[in-house]
Amino acid sequence: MARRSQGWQFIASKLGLYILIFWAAITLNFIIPRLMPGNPASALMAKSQGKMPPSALKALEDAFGINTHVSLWRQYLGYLRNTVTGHMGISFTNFPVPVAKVIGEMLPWTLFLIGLSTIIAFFIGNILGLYSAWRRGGKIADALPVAFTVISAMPYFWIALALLYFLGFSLNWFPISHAIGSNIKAGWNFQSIGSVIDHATLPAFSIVVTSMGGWMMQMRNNLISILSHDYVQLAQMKGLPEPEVMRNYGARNAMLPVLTSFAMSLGFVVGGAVLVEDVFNYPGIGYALVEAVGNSDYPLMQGIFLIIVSAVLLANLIVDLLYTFLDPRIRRA
Amino acid sequence: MNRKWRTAGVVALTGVLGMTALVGCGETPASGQPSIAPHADKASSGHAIGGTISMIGGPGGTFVNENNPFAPGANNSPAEPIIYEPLAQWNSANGKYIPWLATSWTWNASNTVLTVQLRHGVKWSNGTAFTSKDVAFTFNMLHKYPASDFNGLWSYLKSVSADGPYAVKFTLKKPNSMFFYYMASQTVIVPEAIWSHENPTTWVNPHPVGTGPYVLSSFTPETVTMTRNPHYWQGPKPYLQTIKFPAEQSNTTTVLSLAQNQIQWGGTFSFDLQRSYVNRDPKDNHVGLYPNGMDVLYVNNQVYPMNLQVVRQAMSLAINRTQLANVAWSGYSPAVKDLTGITPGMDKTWSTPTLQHDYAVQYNPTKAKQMLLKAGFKMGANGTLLTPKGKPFNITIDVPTPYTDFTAASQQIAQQLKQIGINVTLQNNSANTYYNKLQQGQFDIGICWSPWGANPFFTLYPFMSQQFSKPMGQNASANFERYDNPQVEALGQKFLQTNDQSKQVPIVRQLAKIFATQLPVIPLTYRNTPIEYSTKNIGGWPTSSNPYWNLNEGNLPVLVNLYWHN
Repeated sequence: MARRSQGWQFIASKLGLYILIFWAAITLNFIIPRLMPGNPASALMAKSQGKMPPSALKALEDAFGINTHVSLWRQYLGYLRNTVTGHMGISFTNFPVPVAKVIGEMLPWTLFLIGLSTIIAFFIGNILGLYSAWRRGGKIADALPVAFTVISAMPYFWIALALLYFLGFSLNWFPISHAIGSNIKAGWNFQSIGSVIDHATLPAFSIVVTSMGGWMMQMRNNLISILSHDYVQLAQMKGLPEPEVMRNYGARNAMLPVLTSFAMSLGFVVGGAVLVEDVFNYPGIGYALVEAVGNSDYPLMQGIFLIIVSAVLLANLIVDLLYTFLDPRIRRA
Repeated sequence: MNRKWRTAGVVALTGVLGMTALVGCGETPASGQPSIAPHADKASSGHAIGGTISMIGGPGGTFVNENNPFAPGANNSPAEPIIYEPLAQWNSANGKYIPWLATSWTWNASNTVLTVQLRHGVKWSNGTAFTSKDVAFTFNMLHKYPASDFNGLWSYLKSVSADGPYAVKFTLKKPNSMFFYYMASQTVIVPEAIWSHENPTTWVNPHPVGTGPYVLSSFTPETVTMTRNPHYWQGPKPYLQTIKFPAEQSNTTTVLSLAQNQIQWGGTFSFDLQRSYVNRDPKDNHVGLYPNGMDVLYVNNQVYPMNLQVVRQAMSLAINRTQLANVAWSGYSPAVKDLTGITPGMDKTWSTPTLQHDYAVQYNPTKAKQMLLKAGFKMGANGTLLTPKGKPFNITIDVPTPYTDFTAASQQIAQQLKQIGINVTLQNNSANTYYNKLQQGQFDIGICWSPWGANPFFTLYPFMSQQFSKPMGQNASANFERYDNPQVEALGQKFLQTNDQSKQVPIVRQLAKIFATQLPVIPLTYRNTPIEYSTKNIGGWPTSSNPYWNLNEGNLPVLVNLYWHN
């Protein structure tokens, strides 16, 4: 009983901390865009590169409400209220479309492509890491870290462009852009799902290949250091079967720090991947964020940051809570 | 990332066609108003209807279904300019207006009342008739919602009213010869029955109804599809059945899609289009270059010593524009020939051989240095000039890092000016910061594009007039360098009073002379946009031998003429 209430206390204190962090993050989210030089009206004039008449500047400032005389403090209160109630305002870039709609159209694609690739890379990377640590000394096991160090040393866009050019353009095996064929209406049918998978294969492959090396190295290093601990040697000396030692004594302990990084990276999935989206012309949040920054589109920027902050915090909270079950040491601390 | 490319190009559209045949439903345009008929011989017999073209409306990521031409977004639907039409199209390929929803127009003697006659038989895509009420409504709506009046029409207008079902009267506060361009060719007409219930600044307009040749048929964030409007007033045009706009955010995939002929019309800049696009299919893949004003070096006229005319002249002499054009623009945008600010294509009407000769561009760093020394500058110990006030001549050039061409050109200029003893430091900025610095006058020098419109006045006047300036620290709209000259204001007022081109020409020549002598900004290159197009299955393009339209000025007049062939 006492142990149980201790657990709840831990959860409550964690929740309080996360609410504080969330407040700090959204406050920064309010301040930082306003420190950027320029405003959305000039950004739009710059983007039109002379195609808008000089007189448009005034109209744009009116439309975006730039020369407003509302005090910063009142703007901040309004912002907090809107954040809590989920009103994210109107995007300047896509004026007059609401931010929620812009994000709503991009987010599913990002979650699908980046989320799925992150999970695949995580699993393959960890299995390879386990293998290469357990069998270290073997030819393949020792070649793996070298191979993936070489791959991670190459810039992502270079690999992506090479894949795009050879597999997509020269061999024409995969489509070179977009998330779905232009003649196909997205829906839950065979043709549409097939087209989505066809379009996602190349970008997903590029993410998996370039990111699983990191997972592998982390797992490998953890496991190697754990395997040198006394309790592992004790287990081996007791004559436990090798797979059991690896699973229960090695992998389980090596898993804990990896899980934290995994949660972090899942949280960052909603931030999208700018380079992937740019090279493969894939719709997503990352590209929308870059556009928003370039156009001084405060509402869209704030909306995307809000989603990223919430997702990262949520993922961390879940891992924190999970830890209390996975690692009893934390509960007692 | 060089996605935010900017453009370049060669080819001045010189020879202008004698175009006599007609578009549309057989009405005769007012005399002296030629229309478009790229293939007059074939147009009479017509082409078969059918086929699809994929084109990119401009890089900028996925689309949102927003089709409001009066809402100020950066990522508007590409469908919008094909759905809504203006009263007239201004054709920069020959400097003439093409009657569009209007058939003719006349000014009263004092140039304050403009009467526009509208085309009969035009229908909105929902089948209702287009009348003068729609036109009057559109302009009065802009009065009610100034945030949608991008062209500032109501700074000139007093009233707009229908005059019978097919005529509209525009009354101006005072004569203004720039008004017609912005009113007729830069403002599109929307139907009163639908728009009278909406706020044009904030309405999304998901189901657009217009007079244009295509209607929106399906929309996804990645592809906008449009189909032929069977009621189009230029029937049997348009010939192509379907237009697709795939969303493009990356230069790489755009060029590859062009090379695969998945996209037949693009506007992407890449340093080597010849190899990556044209050479893939030299017979059918083409790159056309379309003029779009100039790129100039803005020089802050409020900052010592650039406020001295001799300094600006010396800087102009020290810049090797040919090298600049080759290094920064792959030769797409050629060096300016003279300093008058009058661009090729307009020069026949507005310039003179004398002007072109007297103010021809020179590259002479030795002379530049001598001029400065004569003006009281001294050579400092480390090779940097000392101003007559005794300070070293150190200035900063502001560079927009995402614009690779401006960055390369700025580096060239810094090196070239160093040779005559001006020490130029490069300051990297985001595109947004850079432009804001220019607007607010917080810069020494910086490269940027020129204002541009129906004639050289639309370039020279905004460059030099206080109307387009603001005190330092506030956003100026065009006169970033803060040039101030009462003579320009007087000439400007004189120009705005008259719609008679024969009276306008001498005024423009005087302005050009002031511009070329005083160099408030330093002209560098003629700015050209490369446009990629494929003739494999699609005909009817404006070509160098038949440049019936400048593809920079919107794609609608070309789209109605394109046709499918095997």
